[in-house]
This record gives sequence, structure tokens and C-alpha cells, in this order.
Amino acid sequence: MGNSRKRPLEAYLSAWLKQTGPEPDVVLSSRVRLARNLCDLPFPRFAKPETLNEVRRLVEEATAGDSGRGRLAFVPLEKVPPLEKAALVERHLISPAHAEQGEGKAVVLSPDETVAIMVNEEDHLRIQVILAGLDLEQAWRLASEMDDYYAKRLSVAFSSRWGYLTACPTNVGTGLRASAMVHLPALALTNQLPRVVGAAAKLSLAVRGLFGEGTAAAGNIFQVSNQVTLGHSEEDIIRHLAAVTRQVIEQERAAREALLEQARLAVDDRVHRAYGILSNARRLDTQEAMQLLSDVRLGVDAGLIKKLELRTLNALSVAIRPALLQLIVGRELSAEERDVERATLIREAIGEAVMA
Amino acid sequence: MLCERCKERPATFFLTRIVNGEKTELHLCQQCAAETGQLGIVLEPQFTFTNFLAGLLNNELGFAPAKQSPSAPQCRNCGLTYDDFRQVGQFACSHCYEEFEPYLEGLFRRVQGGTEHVGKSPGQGRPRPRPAKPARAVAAPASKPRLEQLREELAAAIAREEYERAAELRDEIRRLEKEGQSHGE
Repeated sequence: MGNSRKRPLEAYLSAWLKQTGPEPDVVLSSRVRLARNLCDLPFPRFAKPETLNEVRRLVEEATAGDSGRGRLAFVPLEKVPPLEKAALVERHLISPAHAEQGEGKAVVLSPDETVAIMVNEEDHLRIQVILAGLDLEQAWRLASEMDDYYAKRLSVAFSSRWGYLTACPTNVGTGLRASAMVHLPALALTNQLPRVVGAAAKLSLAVRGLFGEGTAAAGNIFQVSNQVTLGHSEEDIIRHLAAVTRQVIEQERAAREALLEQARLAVDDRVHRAYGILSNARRLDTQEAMQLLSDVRLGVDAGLIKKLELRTLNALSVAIRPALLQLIVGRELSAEERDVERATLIREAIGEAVMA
Repeated sequence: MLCERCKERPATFFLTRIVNGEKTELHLCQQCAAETGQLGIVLEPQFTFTNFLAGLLNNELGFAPAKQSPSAPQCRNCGLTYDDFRQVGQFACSHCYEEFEPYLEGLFRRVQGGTEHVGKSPGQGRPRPRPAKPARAVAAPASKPRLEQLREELAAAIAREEYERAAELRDEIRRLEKEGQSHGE
């Protein structure tokens, strides 16, 4: 509608955002990250610029081969404009810390952005795989394949006693951090989240906000992840996390059922109000949009709203973030302009879905 | 509502952080949010896990070497001292692990639960079920009890803060482990 978009929404979405995976009503994505370092060279925090650049050169050389995941793009981060960098954070392809200025930083991306490898973050390599839905086993398999690919080409720091040697003692051993991103609106509405968080903590798992350590849970989206990396095999860690995540799914579904049974009209009203605002508003800030999208998603999952697909909501939940929004619109925007464009983007996406 | 930082402009940023159920909220204006690092990613004073861990290493764990101890360990590859490690909460290179080995078991037991790696190793597509210890024990049966004895002595030496003795024991342990490995292979 009178909109001169430079690139379509789709162009900025990683594979996991364009599709849904197993247990899509609760689990948005599954992520596995492996921390790896090169032998002998100082870890990034203690390394001189020459060393960081040397590490990057070695990784770049190693990246040139055939990894089996399509042609990997090696992207030095100082060449990425700030807005694009912020958008990489918003898509969870690099961490907020990795987006800060620094020598020798890079990211390696597979064509569909399923694989994203940070070079010279806290460790020399952080190999990450993201898949849609609850698919931790497959994410681990893919990450492990990427790990094997690099282990053939680089000498990886490993000890038979301590396992993979990492900068932080909390990652040593497997170097594995696995997480599931879950949408828990009913547990939030019924004030049951503290109970779930407490139970997860007792099981050595953490429940956090959307962007990891110290961030808020926008739109009732949380990450469940393992805390322990030493003394358990990767398979055990993945299995444990998947089992606990399944429990969280069951709890959330039970809370939704209870809500619908006891307060169907209230829920129906709430989700349709949210739908009404999203399809009509002229200005929306990120926080409000995330909350409304959460309500609408609950409505879609509960079968109360039938005209929308989860895929659309997945895409929107990321596309409305400040940096991605500006890339999609094709120019820099003030906060006020962003609110207008955000509302437009959502209105159009929901409108299109309804017309289709 | 006014911005909590400048107390002049209206607060338009509502920052909420939740870590394991602990929730804090901050209300800032656009300008202050930008000045403090935008959208709530960096705010001071910042809690980071590394700082937390460093604090734990310094106060809690009770195996800090005596201050200015002449033989407090230092990594021969990168120069990081154990004191530095306690300050920062991070290793500086892969060799630090060997150099600080005597101190790590207690630390890992505390932050990880486990003290020995189980799982995948580089260049090995499939994870192994357990570390390849039995093979070593079969190849060099006499050296195992000796190793265990040395490890106990080492722990005791550290507890008594006898770092020179600890260093000797560590080297002896390393030598025996190497021997065991070459026998095994």
C-alpha cells in the first residue's frame, strides 16, 4: 500500500522462521551451540589483534571447503553496517556481545541461516544450529557435523580429562549449550511461571528471556537451556533438555485447556481484541506488538482464530524488531516512524493472510 | 511516568530483565535508553555471570592460593596467573587447564557437578560412551593406584598451600599419565 519496500520480508528470514517444526503450538525453535577453541592460541578476550586476525584467517580458510550444508558465507563483521549487524542479533545469528566493535570478529552463515558460526566471540568458534519447533536431536546432529568438518581442518583444544577447553569454566566439557524457545502465554496468564522456572532450575536447566542472559521475556517467549556441560554426554544433555521441554509443553497445554474450560469467553475476547488491534492499529511499539502477537498466537493455537497461520506470526515476531524493520522498509527510521511502519507491516501481513 | 535516569523526559522504554524468576524493571526515556546502550542490552551496574563466577572463586571456594605466594601457578603458554584467573573467571588459553589442573576439580565440582568429560572428542564422528580409561588400566596396571595416590597427595598439598610440592606432584602425575597413554597406544 504505497510502500516502496527495498526487499521483501522473506529475504530477511532464516529457515526456522519461514516454517513450523514439531510441537509448533508451544516451541518456536530449537538451538544447539558448541564452543570450540584452537590449540595454543590465546582465547579471544586475552588475544592481541594479530592473534584474533590469525584465528579468523585460519577459520576462513577452513570454511572454504564443502561442509555439506551448502556454500558457507564467511562475513567479517567490521564490513557489516550497524543496522545489518543489529538485525543479525534480532535473528539470533550472533549474540549482542558479538555485535559490539572488536578485532577479528566474523560470522559464518549457511545459505538458509540454519548454521551460524561466531568467530572470536568468547571462544574462537561458536557453532550454532537453529531449527523450527522442538527438534533438538536434529539440531545437535547438524552442529556435530559442522564441528567434525572444522575439527578435520583446525587443531581443536581438547583434553581427555576435561573435554573441549573453553574460555569460561561453565562451558568446558562438551561445550554444548542447547535451548528451546517456548511460547508460554497460558502459564503466564495463570501466574504459574515461577513454579515452572523453579522446577527447571532444580533440574539444572535455566529459563530465561528471549535474548539469553539478563534479557526480558518479550511476548511470553522464554528459552529453556542446559546449565551443565561437563560430565554428561551430548546425547544425555539433549535428551534431558528435550524431556523437560516436553514437560513444559504439557504444562502449557494443560493451562490452555483449563483457561478455555473456565474462562472461554474471556480468552476468546482477549485474543480477538488483540487481533482487532493488530489488523487496524496505525502505530505499535515493539513491546505492545509482541504482547498482542502472543495473544493472537494463543488464539490461533486454541482454534479461536482460524484465518491466520503460525508461520505468519513467526515471521512477524522477528520482522517487527527495530533493525529488521528498518531493513525491510529500506531506510533508517526514527522511533516514531518505526511504530508507524511496524503497524503497517503487521496490518499488511495479517490482511494478506486473511485475503489468501 | 518520568524517566528514572534523567527524571525530566517521559519514560518510553520499559526494560524488564528476568533471570531465573528474578525480575527487575527500569523505565527510561528514549535518550537515556540510547545513552545506556539501547534497548536494555547493556545497563550498569551489570550483573554478568563471569563477574559472579570470579566472585565465587575469590570468596567461596576456599582454595585460593596465599597472596603473593612465590610459586602460585602461572600458565607457561600465555602467562595468566591463577590469581588473574580468579579475578576474571575465565581461562586465557587451552594450556591454562593443565597449569591450573590441581585447582580445577573443586571448581568444576561446584559449577558443573561433573569433573570428567563424557562425550564427543575431535576427529571422532561418534561420541564414545566413556573416557578410554580401561584400556590404559589394562596396559599399565601398576601405575593406576600410584596415580590415585599422587592425586590425593596433590589435593592435600593444595589444602596445606604447599605449592612447590603441589607443582612437583602435578608434574609427576602428568609424566605417569603420559606413560600410561603411550603404553595404551
